[in-house]
Amino acid sequence: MGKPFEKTMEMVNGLAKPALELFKTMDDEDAKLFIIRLNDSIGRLEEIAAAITHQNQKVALFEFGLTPQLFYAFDCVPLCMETFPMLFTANRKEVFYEFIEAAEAAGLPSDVCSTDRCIVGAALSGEFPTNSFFVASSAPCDGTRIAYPIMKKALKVPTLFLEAPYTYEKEAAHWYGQQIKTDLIPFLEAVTGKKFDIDRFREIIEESNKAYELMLDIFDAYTVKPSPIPASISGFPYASFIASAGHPRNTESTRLFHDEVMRRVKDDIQNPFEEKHRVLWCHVQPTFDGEFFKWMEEKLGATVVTSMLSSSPILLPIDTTDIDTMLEGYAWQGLDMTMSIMRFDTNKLLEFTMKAYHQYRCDCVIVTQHVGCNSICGAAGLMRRYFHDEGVPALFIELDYNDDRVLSSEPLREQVEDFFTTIMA
Amino acid sequence: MDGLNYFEETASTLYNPDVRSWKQEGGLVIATQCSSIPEELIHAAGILPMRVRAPGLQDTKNADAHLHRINCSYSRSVLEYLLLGKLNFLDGFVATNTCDHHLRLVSEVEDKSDYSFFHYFQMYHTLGQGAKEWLLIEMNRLVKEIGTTLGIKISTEDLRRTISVYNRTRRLMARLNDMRKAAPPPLTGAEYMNIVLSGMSIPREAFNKRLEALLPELEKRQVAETRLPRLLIIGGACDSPGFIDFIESKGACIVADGLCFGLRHYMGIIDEAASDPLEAIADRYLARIPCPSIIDGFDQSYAILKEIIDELDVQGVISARLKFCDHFAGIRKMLVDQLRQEKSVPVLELEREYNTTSSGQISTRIQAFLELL
Repeated sequence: MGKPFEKTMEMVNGLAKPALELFKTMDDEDAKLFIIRLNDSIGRLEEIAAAITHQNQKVALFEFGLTPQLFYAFDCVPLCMETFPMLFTANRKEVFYEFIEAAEAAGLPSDVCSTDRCIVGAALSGEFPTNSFFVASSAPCDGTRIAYPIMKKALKVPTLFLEAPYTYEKEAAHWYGQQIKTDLIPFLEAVTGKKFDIDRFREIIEESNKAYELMLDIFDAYTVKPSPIPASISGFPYASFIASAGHPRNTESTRLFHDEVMRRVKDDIQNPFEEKHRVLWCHVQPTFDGEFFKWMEEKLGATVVTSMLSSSPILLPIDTTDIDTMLEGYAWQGLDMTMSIMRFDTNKLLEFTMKAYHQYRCDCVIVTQHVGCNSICGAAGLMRRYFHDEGVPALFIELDYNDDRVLSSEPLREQVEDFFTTIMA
Repeated sequence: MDGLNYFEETASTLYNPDVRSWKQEGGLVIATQCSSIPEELIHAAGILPMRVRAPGLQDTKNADAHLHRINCSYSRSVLEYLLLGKLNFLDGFVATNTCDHHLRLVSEVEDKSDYSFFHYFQMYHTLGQGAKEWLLIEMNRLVKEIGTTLGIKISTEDLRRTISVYNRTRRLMARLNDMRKAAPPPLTGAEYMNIVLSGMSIPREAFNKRLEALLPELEKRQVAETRLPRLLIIGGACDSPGFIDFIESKGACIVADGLCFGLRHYMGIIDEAASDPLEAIADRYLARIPCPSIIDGFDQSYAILKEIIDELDVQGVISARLKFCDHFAGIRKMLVDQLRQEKSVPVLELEREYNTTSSGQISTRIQAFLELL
């Protein structure tokens, strides 16, 4: 059993910080963007590490069916579970493998999603803070619905499970919002010993709305041809929002990123490669190969301009009129801005996918058939037929987006190269 | 035993003679995809609800072109049945998203069928007030859809009549389960499963009559004195009497289950005196042994299973998980941990495909487990 967050901070101190210093010395247009991202991530992780040592502070472990604003309103430090494995999959693979093996040794079969196995393994290995509580919703998938009950038993911390509606409609968001009001807020009051303060919540929602609007601007800029920034960094505003929406650091990082993207659009600064293809990525991109997108751009002229999951901020900022409007907006962000959209039936998923495809002016689709995801794999039959009928070139790749032992970089790149040099040529 | 032959016959095929008669008399048949769909609402509309299965299917070669090999073989088998035209006799289908396999089957069935009635029932995944509210919303949607599409209005009286019929079934099944406490029990696990499946495959009133007639016969039945290990089986879509028979042929006796095609379908009584029958039906679904897809359902599941283990003097548990079923992987892990912690009975962890009835590997593992007992 290790100490909480030990492996995470080893990665921060041993890799992220030196990388940051290195970027600072580089005379490179893109370095600025990577500096923003690293500063943001390091700041967030250090804040969690600091909170672990303060028994009066609580770490809010939460899953994708929520965004973090409400936790900040109770002065907690949030940690989004589903983003956790990605800290290790590219740069500290041995830690990721160790967590996976811990979960499997405890009885989780290897066909369960590697994200969930990694989270359970990390919990069993003592990597998560003990001065924490845990909130999960029942969406989006089978993997989370088994990982979190197991984690509850492993961590022995206060836990709340919320019922996430599987429909995409205002009524569902309202209903989920009411559940946040009747269940989550009293739960947070109990675990933190603090009363809910609507003014504080409004302040945090207003803060997150600033970042949200900046993010919408940035996403608009991604529709520009050619793309103003490399694909390897384009997901940052979304990832940062999911992890820390409502924190001033998130707003500031997003603002800096926004300004840099806008400068590039205004000054017509382009990537140093010819953009031949604009790719929509369906489901999660491979996280184990940090150079993959760069390789796609340089070698094939193919840039991944958006993904089905992260292109979904299509909603309005949260309406701060009163508690109900705030909770409804907050609920909707949790339900439809995150991986929770995987809870939709296949036709609705296709609707989201094609909206992004047209909005971002894509000319092809790559679908990750993540071998632990019964959902995306099961959707592939109808998706394949739909793309065929609509004349959308599509590549389906079977891999584990976290684990390069299922499909490593080399055969992955071969498949992608074959697609672009034959179908897309 | 003659009475049991009827159950075996009606369990072995979906379009069985009773269903044919029902259809010839102008009755409608609507399939349900999961035991968590409140089929009472369909029954209350005067329609025959039928839990969809794919008995006797050997392979899923057509369905495999649409669903992925990591989608469970139950989902693929149902789709195969649909593609082969074996579900053409149905008049409608109520699909659901209990798990991701089911979720993806929803759109496939919608795409590849032309039922005049297709309804997507969006399942609850927690216990407690939120889940109950959601379940009631969905139940009301189903009632409305039956009214809109089929022109059948379901009245409170219809619901009360149905509750009475279903309670009758569940009381009879409880009596049958009580008989399994005997050592040896008067019927085998395979015979029991045929009864269970028959109840999902024929008009409920007819089933009640047949079962009521069978129980006295079973009470008088003479069985050879044996002291075989008494087992409980858990798993998801296990509807194969052949598989149960295969386990028992190794020298064991299945006396209880925690199966979707079993306890989950028949457990619990609906409050007939409740002022709101819909709410009473919802309460029964939430109080029974939860599906492992219920994120906070393990403690309730465990309490129920432990009571069964103790009451029926169960000596071992067989977990027959369908390959790629995450939910049963999770509950199996937690069950094994909890039983071990309480120094209770051991668990044999098997993995099977939907149509598995036997295999050399499974045979060896069962034999080794039985020796351990």
